[in-house]
Amino acid sequence: MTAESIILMIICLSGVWGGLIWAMLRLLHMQNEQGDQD
Amino acid sequence: MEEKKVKAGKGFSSPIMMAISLIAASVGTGNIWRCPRVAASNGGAAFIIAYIVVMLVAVIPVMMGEHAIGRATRKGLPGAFRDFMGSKKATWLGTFVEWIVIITIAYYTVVVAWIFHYLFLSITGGCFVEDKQALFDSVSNHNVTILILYIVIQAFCAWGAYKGIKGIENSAKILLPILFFCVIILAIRTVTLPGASAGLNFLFNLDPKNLLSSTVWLQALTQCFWSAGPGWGICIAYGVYSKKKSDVALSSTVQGLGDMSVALLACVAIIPGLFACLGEQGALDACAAGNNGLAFIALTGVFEQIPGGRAFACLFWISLICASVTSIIAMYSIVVQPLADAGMSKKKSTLIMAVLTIALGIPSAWSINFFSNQDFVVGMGMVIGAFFSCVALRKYGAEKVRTNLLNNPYTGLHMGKWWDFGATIFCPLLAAAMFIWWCILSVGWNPDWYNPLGTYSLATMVLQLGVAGIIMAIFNNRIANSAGPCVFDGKDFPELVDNGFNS
Repeated sequence: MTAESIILMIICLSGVWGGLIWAMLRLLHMQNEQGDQD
Repeated sequence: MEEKKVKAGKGFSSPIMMAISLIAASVGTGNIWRCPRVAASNGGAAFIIAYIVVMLVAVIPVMMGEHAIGRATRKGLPGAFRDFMGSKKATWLGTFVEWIVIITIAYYTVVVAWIFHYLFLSITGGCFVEDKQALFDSVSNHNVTILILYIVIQAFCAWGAYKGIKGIENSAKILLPILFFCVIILAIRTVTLPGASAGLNFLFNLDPKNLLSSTVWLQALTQCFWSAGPGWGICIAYGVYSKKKSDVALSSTVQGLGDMSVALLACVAIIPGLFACLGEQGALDACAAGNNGLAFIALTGVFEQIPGGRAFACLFWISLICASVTSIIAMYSIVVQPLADAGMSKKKSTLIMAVLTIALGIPSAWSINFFSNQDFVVGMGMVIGAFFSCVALRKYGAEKVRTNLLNNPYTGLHMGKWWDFGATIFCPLLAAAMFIWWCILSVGWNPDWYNPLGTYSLATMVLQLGVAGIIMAIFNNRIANSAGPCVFDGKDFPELVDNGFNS
């Protein structure tokens, strides 16, 4: 594999998976905050 | 519209469970076998970049809007369009999408029957024959086993939907982790095969010229529309069951990113395996052979060649079963909602829909030509459905959707003005461009395009969707009157409403 391909693969996969994990954690945080208020 | 007292219902057990259920509904066979195939055939990295951009800029914003429509109206598709657009005349838009989903359940379950059959054949080794095309032809045509499997799977998915919210959550909770596990194991196996790096290199090699290709962008858009779920009502249907204070924007973002995560993982699991076992030309030929050619013929050949191939073939078929069953249960939960809105019991609405979809799908289970025709027509119907959602959002007012419904005090992800452009200008324009592009393509590849009985003809698509649209318009008022009282005050989300499936 070329270095460019490896870099692009890491950017794409970590970007999408990282985004998913961030959004899930944010949702969990909002859920907990909502629970506290209730 | 007149407001009457409505009974309160339960929603998803938590926002996280709703997000997981949304991912499970969106992820289908299209993520696992279509995305890798289309990515490899359309410039690899350029396609992946276009796919990510279109998903973030156009598709996720529309899914947020659809989710808001469902939560605001607390109705199945016809009632949702009626109440959100504030006009009885708009009901047929929702009924049209409802019809598309019914047809989708009918033919899509046939694929699951094929997959189950191939799972049995992989366990016994019966799928590793010399003439794999002949085997697939015998499975997909005039096969009584497939017909029986088809009816059993339909009944199982209808039962899942009958269970309501619990059925949706339990299927997602059980099947989604199995799906992730199978695809990750497959990815680890294929990338460690000798020669697999050539596949990864091909997949992630960026030729900047490809980023200027309209075909690459339109294929990326097609993948987003057919996989993530704008236009087939899932976001509206699940929005109906979401609690007033749960987060619309974040839920839809999780749904879109979750769908993309599985698709990209599937690319890494499948393309290197094809390159390792078939070489570059063989891999590209396999990708050009269509979804069925790739999964049932080329990949069966790949599993035959690799050590422990039977076990990995089983993992592949199990991942497809998990992906498709959760999607079919979700589709069932979409189509039963309008009957529940009309006052039918849970049992009666599920039974009616199960009988209808089973009957409509029997020709597809019996003949692959009929199946292919339905696949072609439904694809276009979904694009039209996404366009209708954009029209509904635009009619209500993009800024009003954003300020009143999305950026409410309970959200953890505030949308800027760009959302108005993405959901109500960019996405409908892309949907229209995609529809015209596929029409032009279908005329180009099929000289028999004017034949209304042709499998892939433009005329069959126009005829079937046109007749459906006309029938929906004729029965518009009757359906509008049966959709129950309006609970949307035009400003804020109402509390949950009990429709029988969320008691």
